[in-house]
Amino acid sequence: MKIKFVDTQPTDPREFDLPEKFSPENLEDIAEIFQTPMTGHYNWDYSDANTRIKKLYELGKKLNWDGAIDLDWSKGIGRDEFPVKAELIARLEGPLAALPEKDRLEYMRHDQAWALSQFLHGEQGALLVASQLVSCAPTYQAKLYAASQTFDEARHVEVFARYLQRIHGLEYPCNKNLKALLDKTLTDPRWDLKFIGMQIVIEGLALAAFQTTKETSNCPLLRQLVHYVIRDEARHVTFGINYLTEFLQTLSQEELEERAQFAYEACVVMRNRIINTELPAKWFGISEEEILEMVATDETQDIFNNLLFNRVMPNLKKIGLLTDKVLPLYEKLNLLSFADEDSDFEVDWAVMNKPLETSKEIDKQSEVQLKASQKIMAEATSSLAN
Amino acid sequence: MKIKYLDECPKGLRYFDDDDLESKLKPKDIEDVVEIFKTPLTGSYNWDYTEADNRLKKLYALGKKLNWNATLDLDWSKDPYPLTEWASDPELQAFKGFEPYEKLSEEEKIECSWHVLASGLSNIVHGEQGALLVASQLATCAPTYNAKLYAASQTFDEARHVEVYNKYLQERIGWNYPIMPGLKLLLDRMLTDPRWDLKFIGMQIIIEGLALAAFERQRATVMDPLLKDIFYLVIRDEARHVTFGVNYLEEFVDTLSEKERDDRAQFAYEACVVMRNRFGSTNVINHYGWDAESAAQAQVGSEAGKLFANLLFSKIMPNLRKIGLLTEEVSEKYEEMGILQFKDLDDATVTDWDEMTKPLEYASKTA
Repeated sequence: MKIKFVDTQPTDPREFDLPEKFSPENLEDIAEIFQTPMTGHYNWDYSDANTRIKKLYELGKKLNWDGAIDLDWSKGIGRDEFPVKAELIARLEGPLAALPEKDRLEYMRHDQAWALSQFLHGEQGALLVASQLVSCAPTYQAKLYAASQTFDEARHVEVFARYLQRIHGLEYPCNKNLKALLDKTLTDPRWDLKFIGMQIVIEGLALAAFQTTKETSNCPLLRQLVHYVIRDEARHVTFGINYLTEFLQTLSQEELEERAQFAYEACVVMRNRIINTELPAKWFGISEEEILEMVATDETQDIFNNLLFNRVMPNLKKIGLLTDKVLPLYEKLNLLSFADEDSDFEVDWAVMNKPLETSKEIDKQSEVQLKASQKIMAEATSSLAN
Repeated sequence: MKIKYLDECPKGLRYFDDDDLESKLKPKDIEDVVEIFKTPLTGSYNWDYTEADNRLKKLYALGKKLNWNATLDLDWSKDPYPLTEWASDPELQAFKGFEPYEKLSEEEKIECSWHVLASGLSNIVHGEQGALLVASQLATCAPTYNAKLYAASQTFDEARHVEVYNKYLQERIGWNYPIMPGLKLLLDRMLTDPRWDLKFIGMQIIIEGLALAAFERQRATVMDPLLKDIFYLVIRDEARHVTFGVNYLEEFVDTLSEKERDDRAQFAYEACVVMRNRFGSTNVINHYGWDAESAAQAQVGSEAGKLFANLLFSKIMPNLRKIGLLTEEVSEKYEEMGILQFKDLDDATVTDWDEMTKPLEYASKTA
């Protein structure tokens, strides 16, 4: 067992030269330590009431796909193929459109590898938080459920790592702002705070980002992969809302405000700070500040970023974290318009219960959903112009 | 969410009334009973994500594949095994030969056999909860990529074990017993220790080693075919867990200093002592109001008791030797306990991959 302990996350992208890297003697694990004082609970009750949490646990057991078996790894795109759909490439504007095709391909391959790498690191964070929830959650059913989610998250880490290594042959380190959020979430002694950060904010946004990937990806394997992940995440978000709605009611007003403030800060980080600044800097010589400035002032980008919050906002409201203190802050970010939509508290159990779709069905969904998203974007952009 | 916080674990028998079970389990009536423990964890992010093609990866793949589901893969629809029949082989009863037990009528002896089984199963549920908590902490603390994935699959296994034994107890027997003090002591010690490998030694080598021995014996002696199948399925999982523990710890203990290793060896020894001395059916003895000491002695001295003690250490000792925790200092102590000779039973440490890989075969399989 060779383990290299590092003080901060690695900062350089990695290229994979398969397969000799994978033989045990060449392997060195790179680990970074964090400290977290936990308050665990034994549960001595074991009462299995017929609740939503139990239903979610049952579904978790049933829909337990295996990335090594249920995904067709022969359907991945080659490294000479564009990672996003051709119709989207045709509509590119700006410096990327001006690049020669070969460079554009290279850029987009790295760009997707960067994004998928952030999914990967986020999923590791989710694995760590879900596993801690097993110890910390006080109720019997939540412990069982959290164990099923822990396993889900491990399978997500597994498939994203495998996709990056085999299909792109590339992996980017964890973005420093995402890392800061993970650090804060993982080292806090309050389990519900970890849970709010991970299950409501990070997973809520990941769900939206996975959906976009499913719609825009040119790779049948990746579409299927993220679709299966989305099926799991839908359970996770529903669990989070249902459990936290009950739990947060047991907190004092002051404790609740702390959670509300934390959730707001997590939203800001996720909205404005997790941006790939390295690639534009390397290819177009644009500095990090310029990119952040561009993103902050680009209205179309703004609409897109805000759309990613259409699940997070109603969910924060439902669990009681849109307090009077933080409302004006969200208002400034233009995020409040989503707050009155339906939360994920109520779910369509028939949809949750459906057997896992085939690759063909998923491809069809991808087309339909892309058109729907484009329509929403177009409407939002035109109302902006008016 | 109603939660009742306790300072220590509950004591006394708890009944699940059949007629009332349905109405009782409405969400609003549930009050979860919990006890808090503190544990300062040292977690690791892993930034490597490369899957070495080794035993751990194999074990993770098997964990995904052999992932049985207690509600779907076992047939719960058949008539329950009657509580008026023996729970386990009448020849191998825990208190056979103990005078107050022998004075009971046949009917009462049968009832006693269910109490002994319920006490054993209850403590299996509690032990599995401990295993669930430790396995989940391992997902956070293990530094390597393969081990994190594997630990996540084990976490899910342990949850399914708690679930299936608990379901059997509540639905088929109808009462449960609180955790025995010895087991609780050990769980407390492991769960609150900041060193993950120490938790892991206690759980994966000592408690799971004991569990594996106990389950194999129980599977052979219990009468209800459904319960035999439950033991079969859990044993299949436990075999992976112990293999993982031995393989991972063998490598990890190797990286420790001598002082650190001695601490672990001493801990493992103490855990063995706790397990041997305090693992009788004290719950049942209290329930019948028997003299604690003579009843416990009768149980340890019974055929069943002797068989079990041998089985128990025949699993644990070879594994402790393999991972390097039979240091000179503790070897003498094990010698005094009379269990050192088990260390050379080699077959316990040889992994039979064919056995571990084969499909799940059991009687009450659903279509």
